[in-house]
Amino acid sequence: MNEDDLLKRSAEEREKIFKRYEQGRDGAQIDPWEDPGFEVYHATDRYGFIHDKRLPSKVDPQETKKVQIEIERQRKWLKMIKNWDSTNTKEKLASRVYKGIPNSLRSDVWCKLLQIEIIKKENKGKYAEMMKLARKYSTDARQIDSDVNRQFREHLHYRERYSIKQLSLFNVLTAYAMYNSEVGYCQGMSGLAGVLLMYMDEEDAFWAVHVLLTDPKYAMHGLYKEGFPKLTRFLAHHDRILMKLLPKVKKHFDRHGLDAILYSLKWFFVCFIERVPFSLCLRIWDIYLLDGERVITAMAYTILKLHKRNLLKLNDMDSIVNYIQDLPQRKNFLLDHLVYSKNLLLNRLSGSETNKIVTLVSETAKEAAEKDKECQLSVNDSVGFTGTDTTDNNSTMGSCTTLASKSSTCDDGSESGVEECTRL
Amino acid sequence: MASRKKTLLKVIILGDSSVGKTSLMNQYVNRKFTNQYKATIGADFLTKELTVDDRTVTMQIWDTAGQERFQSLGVAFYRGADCCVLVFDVTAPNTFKSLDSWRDEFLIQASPREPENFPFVLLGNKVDLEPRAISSKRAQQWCQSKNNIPYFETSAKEGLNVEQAFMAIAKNALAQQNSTVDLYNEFPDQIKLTNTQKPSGGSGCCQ
Repeated sequence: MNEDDLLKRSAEEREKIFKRYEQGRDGAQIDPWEDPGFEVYHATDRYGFIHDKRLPSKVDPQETKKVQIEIERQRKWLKMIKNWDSTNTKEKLASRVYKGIPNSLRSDVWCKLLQIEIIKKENKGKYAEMMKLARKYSTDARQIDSDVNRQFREHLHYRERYSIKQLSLFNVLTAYAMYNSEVGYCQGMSGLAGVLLMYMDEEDAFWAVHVLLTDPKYAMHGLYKEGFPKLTRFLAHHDRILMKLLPKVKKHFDRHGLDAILYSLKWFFVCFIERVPFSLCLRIWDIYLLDGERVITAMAYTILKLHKRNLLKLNDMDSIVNYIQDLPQRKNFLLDHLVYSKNLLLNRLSGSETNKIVTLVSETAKEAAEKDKECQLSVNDSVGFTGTDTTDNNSTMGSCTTLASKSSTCDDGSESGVEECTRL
Repeated sequence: MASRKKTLLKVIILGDSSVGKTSLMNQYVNRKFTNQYKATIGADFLTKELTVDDRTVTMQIWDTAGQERFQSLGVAFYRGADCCVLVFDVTAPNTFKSLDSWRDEFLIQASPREPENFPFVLLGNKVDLEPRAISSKRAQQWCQSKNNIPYFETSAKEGLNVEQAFMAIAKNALAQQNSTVDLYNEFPDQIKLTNTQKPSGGSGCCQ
């Protein structure tokens, strides 16, 4: 086949894919398995995920309490959103984001944190233009098509083949691949855009992806472009943090030939999507959008620290990786640690004592991060500082202190079901 | 030769995106096919115990990302592989064309000691689907040109030929492990750090 034929064939293929999305679900020829049958009404959780099993009909009292607190917080948040640029907001924003953004207001707050309005205004018409270009020239349509068909299919909005949300996801990704031609489309970005689209409309999500990739605070561009320079850097950084702060865990992993890339890739690559329970993932995203990439290394450290005991008991690579990857399925995601702290507190644990545990966690994290500072020089020496990684390593290391403590604070609250933590 | 105490076979599955790598692995290990698979990012693995010629072995199957740019992460995942499984979709000609590149890239990154004898197995997946774009004959010709790679036509969806294919994969991996004590150049070109020769004073240019 000569080049003209090949080009013609690829243009035809691209046009076919675009048309199928345009047409939508009605009349589309799909395999039966492409639309999963679920018992929708009984099993959809508050984030829109559909579960194979019915959710318990009796609501957990702690869960109810959590929702009530969130409703109370909404009022404060509404006030903040109205007066976003006020000093009052500036003072309180960080601590409130760490407590968790109310789910109903995530859409507004995420857009504000990423300053979507500004960039959208500056680039009027750009998104539509990119969509047009994509239809004519996209070389990523096939890959994006196959990933859209697999992304969050257990979510209400992505469940149906060629649904409106699937169309939005397809549009955002094909358009962005044209806009940022150095990255194009990289697997993983469908998860990123997929989460954003749960809270934003198409054009906002497009610009949100752009901010996450190019703003120095997040700089995910280096994660996705050919060669993955930033991933290499994250992994090296993570290793050094472990060596300094969790040397036993690091030695244990090394003994079993466990390279960090085998368990932490998705932590760094897609900011914990599908690696922690979704509710916790959103909490991490909240603070990630506020404070940027340092949140990710701090969280990676926190997870291993909280599960240190169990991890050290596992004696082969398989079970360690499986343990870490199955964390989302673990009901007591961070409960193990609470049990551990309980012993430390000489069994004085009661509801109000939980604060102490959190303080304990943050103190150890702080102490640990102090030590971490000592290895700054060696971290700066490490390889892999390429691409668009504009981060200042010193600041990353330094702020690891507060972050690790802050993130562990909110994790405890969100997943262990201990209310006191979330009120910190 | 000394046999290892616990025989662990490491198998890598490679091929273009959406040819069915994850589905094949899950069909073989869990005997399940679902639509719930997510795009594999980086790599995931599953293990299965099986008996090959009266010998119990553990097969560790590594499923990898299909997008081309992920090949650069290969080194971390391919290390120590005993067999490489190449997969293409019999209804998608592009996925067949990429096989050469997957094979070459694997050999570069895994750098086995005898690349020409390293065991590969080729799977033509999705034979339950129509229309077919790559005939058996064409696939077999390719296999012959690569030093007679075993070829299987499979359907991960129907579970067709999957068991047989993985048994062949296990046998090839085991044969390879037995034939060479050291499959990999773990320490290529050793550099001795301790200087055994005493410096002969005065001859260096920097002195």
